[in-house]
Amino acid sequence: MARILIIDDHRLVRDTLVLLLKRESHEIQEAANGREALRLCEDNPPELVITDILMPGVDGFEVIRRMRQLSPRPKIIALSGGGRNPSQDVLKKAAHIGADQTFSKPIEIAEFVAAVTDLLATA
Amino acid sequence: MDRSTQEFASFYGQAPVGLCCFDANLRYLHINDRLAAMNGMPAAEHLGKSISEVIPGVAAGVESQLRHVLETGETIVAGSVVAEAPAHPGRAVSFRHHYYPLKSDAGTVVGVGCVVEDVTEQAQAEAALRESEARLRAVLEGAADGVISIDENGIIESFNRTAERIFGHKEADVIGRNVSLLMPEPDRGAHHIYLQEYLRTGVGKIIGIGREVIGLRKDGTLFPLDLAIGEVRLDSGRHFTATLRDVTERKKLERRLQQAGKLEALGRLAGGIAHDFNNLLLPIIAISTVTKQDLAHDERASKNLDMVLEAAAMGRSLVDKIMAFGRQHPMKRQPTNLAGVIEEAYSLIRPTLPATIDIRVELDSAVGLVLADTTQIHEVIANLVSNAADAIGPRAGVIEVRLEKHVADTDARKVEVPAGPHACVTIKDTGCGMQHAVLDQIFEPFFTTKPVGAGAGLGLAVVHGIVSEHSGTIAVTSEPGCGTTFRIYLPVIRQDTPCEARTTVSG
Ligand SMILES: Nc1ncnc2c1ncn2[C@@H]1O[C@H](COP(=O)(O)OP(=O)(O)OP(=O)(O)O)[C@@H](O)[C@H]1O
Ligand SMILES: [Mg+2]
Repeated sequence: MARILIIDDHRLVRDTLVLLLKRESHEIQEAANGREALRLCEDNPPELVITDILMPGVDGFEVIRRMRQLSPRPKIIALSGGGRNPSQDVLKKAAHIGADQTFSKPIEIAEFVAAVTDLLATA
Repeated sequence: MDRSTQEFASFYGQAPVGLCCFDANLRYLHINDRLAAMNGMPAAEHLGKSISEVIPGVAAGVESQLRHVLETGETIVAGSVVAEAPAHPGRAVSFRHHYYPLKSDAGTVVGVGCVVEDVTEQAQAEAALRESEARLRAVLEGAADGVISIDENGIIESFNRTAERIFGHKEADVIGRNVSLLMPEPDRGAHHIYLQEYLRTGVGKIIGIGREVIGLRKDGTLFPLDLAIGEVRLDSGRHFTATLRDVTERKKLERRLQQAGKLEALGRLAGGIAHDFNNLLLPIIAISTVTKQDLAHDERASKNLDMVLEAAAMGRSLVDKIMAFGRQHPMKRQPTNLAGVIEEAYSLIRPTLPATIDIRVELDSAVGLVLADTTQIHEVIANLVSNAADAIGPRAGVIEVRLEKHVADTDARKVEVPAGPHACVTIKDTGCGMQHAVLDQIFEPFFTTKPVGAGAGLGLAVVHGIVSEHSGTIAVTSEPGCGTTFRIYLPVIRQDTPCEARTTVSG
């Protein structure tokens, strides 16, 4: 059973992702912001981190950079809701600094679940 | 000399005008000092001489006039001669003269009396005035602003060339007519009263202030103009000079800037809304999807969830529109052959439109390459075609989609396409068309005439945004009941080697 950390400042989004992935029988941890997420990972990094990008304080970019320094290095999925900055731009940058997969909100459920499965298989 | 003879001699000799008398043979009988000085010869030397002996340069002309007086007994008043001054060779002098017959008691003409004035200074002043008038006229004619002057009854007294160009009237046709002919109602009818009121009270709305008014061209079209009026008081009465400028272009620019500002503000707002919306749509779509899977056996629940998903999908496409409108999508512009893109867009749109609509596509693939974002061009075509289909409605109708080279329009009033080669995409429908009031607002974000839920009013705002970002121009003509034509002009960056000259698709 894989451990997955979900980071999003939007409670409903977080709850939804938890619901989706619990159905796939994964063990889920949640964080409402970057700082909380980094604290959770300190001793025991998860196998997969799913993080929103635009969050107050420690944002998704920072989370990705810090995750890459952990060992073993978790797989990373970045999500973006677009908005002020074109979501493609944000996601491109996320991929550039180390995200393994990126999704625009609202995500395609089937693709998203498949990506999670694939990434965990290679973890 | 007795006293009266002496008085006469001094009256004659000291007169500040030239005086002389000729006998019937046109020889000098006597001459005063003033005229002798003008002739450059002492008075005494004149006596008995013929005119050609004294002032040979003008003798012929003067003699013939004097002879006329001798023969007819008529008086010549205020004749004029310009001559080289006998006393000052090389200097032109202007004379004004009066010749009158000297008659004997019996009434026969026995000689000619002359009064001669040197009017050189006056003539110079007149010439200077004429020149300054000509110069002023040239300034007026060359002025970038229209200048019109009227008298206190509103009668046009002058109308410069720029005014001719602005109004389409020739100066000759409007001089003497009332200036109200340049105004539409209600100004036209009110102008006379307004002018009289001003003359009476000195209180005016425009005179000395200036403001924007509506002008009426000869062809009946109206246009905005900036008007300033100055008053001149002359001996002949009170006159008014209007300086005016056609501000059609400036107004257009202002409106465009306003539109751009509004779009930018809305774009920023749209970005924020889109972000929140996407976060809200995620749970709705994800949870409906998984719940539907869980309740696969429950047909009614599945159907209900399909409705939720359909609504969510509509919400999602609305967000996409808002984002496109807010130009949230990065532009990926590449040299593009528009024919290919339009054909692709057409093949995607055709299946979504009713079969009662005949779409005719005619694409000239030799228009050259345009720097364009294919996705955005798709969006433009899709929006215009779907609007055209909406305008046609359930009736039968035709939509024409054309791509062709744009040949520079010499009639600058029609479309303002910048110079240089352009590709022109035309989308023409036989739909309901639009009234002026609608046409004026179609590019406004959220402007729609469609029922709630049917149109967001963003389609054309998006089209406008995209076309502007492509440095293009968009033009619309529409006739209620007949149909609408949208033309989009995109600058061609270079000619492409055409593989096929023309594609025609029909469906
Ligand atoms: N081809 C056309 N013929 C007649 N009217 C048109 C045409 N195209 C646009 N309009 C008018 O312009 C309005 C604005 O068009 P626009 O595409 O911006 O919004 P919409 O079609 O109402 O909504 P949306 O495109 O967002 O679904 C329309 O509601 C319609 O009144
Ligand atoms: Mg539309």
